[in-house]
Amino acid sequence: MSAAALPSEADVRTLLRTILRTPGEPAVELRRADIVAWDSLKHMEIVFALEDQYGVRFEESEFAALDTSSAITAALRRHLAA
Amino acid sequence: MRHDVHLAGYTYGLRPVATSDAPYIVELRAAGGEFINRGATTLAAQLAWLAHYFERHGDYCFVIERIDGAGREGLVGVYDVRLDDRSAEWGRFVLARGSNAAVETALLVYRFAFDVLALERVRCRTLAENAKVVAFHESCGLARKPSSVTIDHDGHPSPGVEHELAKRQWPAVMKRLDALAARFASATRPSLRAPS
Repeated sequence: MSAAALPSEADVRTLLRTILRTPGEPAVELRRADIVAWDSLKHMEIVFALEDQYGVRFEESEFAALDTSSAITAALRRHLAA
Repeated sequence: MRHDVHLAGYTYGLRPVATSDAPYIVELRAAGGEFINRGATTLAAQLAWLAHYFERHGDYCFVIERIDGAGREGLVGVYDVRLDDRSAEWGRFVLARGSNAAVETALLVYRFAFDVLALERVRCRTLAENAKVVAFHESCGLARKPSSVTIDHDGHPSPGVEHELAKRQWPAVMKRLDALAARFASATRPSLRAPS
């Protein structure tokens, strides 16, 4: 896959804000610890939405670490580059 | 109370708490964070609590464990079961750090309440400060009751939030939780994954 097809953190933040219905500055990193609405159920919805949007499959052991927009972006890039 | 209720989901199951779980309960609760009542902090105190619990009617404590035999991931309870208005409360919900069992545990708890006990409503009371759990209940589709409640937290009266799920709302909530739990199972059991 070419680098141009890899998701940017801005793309990830847009998806997170849509699911969490959380407004905010586009350039600010989103962190699960800071966002009340990012609860356990929403976390699953986020992971599955990412899988659907980017055509990847996360292992269960990866779920907990997908807790910031930067960590998610890095994980997506790893999967897509593999 | 002593019971023999076992519930199996896609990835997790609930089984009755046993005396042999006492060391695990002490350890789990000690690591549970600021919103957990300290409760029984020693093995002897936990054993005494369990002995009292085994004699208490309308009180069901469960261990949350993986159905693949990979071990325990938490605790949950359904208690204060009232036969007069067919209601109960659920709580004592503690998960091991990093566990993904929250959604399926809620599904199994409600299945027990509505499908096994045939209750009309289930409530849960959460410390208002515990914002993530308050959010979780609302993400599940529960209605927040308008009146505030006071919860005894380690002997201190603390502001709380009460949510309730009525039987008529259960099918919609079940559909949502079941879909997520089934999908999660595909991450734990790759054989369930749809071909890409």
